[in-house]
Amino acid sequence: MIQAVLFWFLQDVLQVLMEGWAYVPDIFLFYLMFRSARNAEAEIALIWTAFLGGLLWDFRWSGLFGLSAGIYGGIIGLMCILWKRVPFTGRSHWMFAGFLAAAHGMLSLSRFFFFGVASKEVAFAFVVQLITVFPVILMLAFAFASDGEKRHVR
Amino acid sequence: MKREGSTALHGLASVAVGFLLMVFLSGDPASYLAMDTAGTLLAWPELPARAARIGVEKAVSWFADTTRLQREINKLQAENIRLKQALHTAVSESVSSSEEGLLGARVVLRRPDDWWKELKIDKGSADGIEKGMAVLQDGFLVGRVFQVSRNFSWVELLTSPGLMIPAVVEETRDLGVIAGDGEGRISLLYVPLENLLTPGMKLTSALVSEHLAPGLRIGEVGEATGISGGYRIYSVVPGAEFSRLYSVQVFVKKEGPR
Repeated sequence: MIQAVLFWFLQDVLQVLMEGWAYVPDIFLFYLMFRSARNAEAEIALIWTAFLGGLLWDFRWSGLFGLSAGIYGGIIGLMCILWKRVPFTGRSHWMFAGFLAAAHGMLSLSRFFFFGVASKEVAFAFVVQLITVFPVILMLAFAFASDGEKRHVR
Repeated sequence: MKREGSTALHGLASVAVGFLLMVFLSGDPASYLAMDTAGTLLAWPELPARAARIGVEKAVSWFADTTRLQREINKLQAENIRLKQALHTAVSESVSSSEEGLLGARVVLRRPDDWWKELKIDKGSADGIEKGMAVLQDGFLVGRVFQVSRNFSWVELLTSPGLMIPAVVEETRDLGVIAGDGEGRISLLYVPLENLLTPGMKLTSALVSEHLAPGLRIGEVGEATGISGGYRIYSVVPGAEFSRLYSVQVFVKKEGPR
């Protein structure tokens, strides 16, 4: 839980630094996806943690209360179900990266649908988010692989 | 299988609750209060990041050697506005009894869904801001304050369809009304058909209220775009850059001796 709060705060701090220039990747959601892929026991708690984090994000940044909350909660629920349906041998870090990329795609599409692109600056902010999300996804994918190796050794 | 069903149920419930919140809270006046509260609560933990951002911006500005020049420009613009204000003292005695000043403020939030309608600044009633005050960028009007809390204020932009401001064409003294279309364009309405304006004529605010002083620069008259109800409509080329609003100045009024 503390780690989730820290990741939310990291996302918030990055948005403060980038405000007016770019939207930051949804690091908080990605972290919870990481947890849901690794910790199959706490699915419901993860869904509502995602919801609360998203709601706070809406209060602080998006202004469309419930948008990020609903999408975050829905994505974690979907992740929990779909990840378990992937055969055990297929649950690689690349598969995990694919899930993260798909989640980002869903988020971008829904925000695009609700917010639209009101100006060149908003479009630029979306593009910067798209560019910066890939290193984040790769880092988390390798963290996932590294975490898997540690578990295997144990 | 039963657990998967429970997970799906909770996932769907979170989406449904989110959707309901979106439907019932969007546009509610309490939503501004909620956003301001969240901003105030997070102001302290965000302080280092904000300070770092300001530091970087200042460093960039210093390297470009523009800080000193910008201060000089701001001073001249404030003086210019005061001089224009003095010209209009005959119009309103109430205006002459006060002295104005520009209070710098940073734009802390501009929501994508209301991009051309409103923005939030980091100064509030604690800094002397009141509802209705004019907000400028580099001496040009960008909008007026419509909601004030202790530490933040919300500004309705000229590009918003909800804000209509009487304006004067400097060269002809024709009066009209400035209104936005919510998509980044501004028009000058209610200009009589017989009064032909030419592109490039200067537009300033006409006396609206004790907060929004006359003589504030808005921009220039553009091309005629149509006729409605016996009046000609002109496009307006705003002086402010609405796509680059990172910091603004609020035209605050300090009551002086009458």
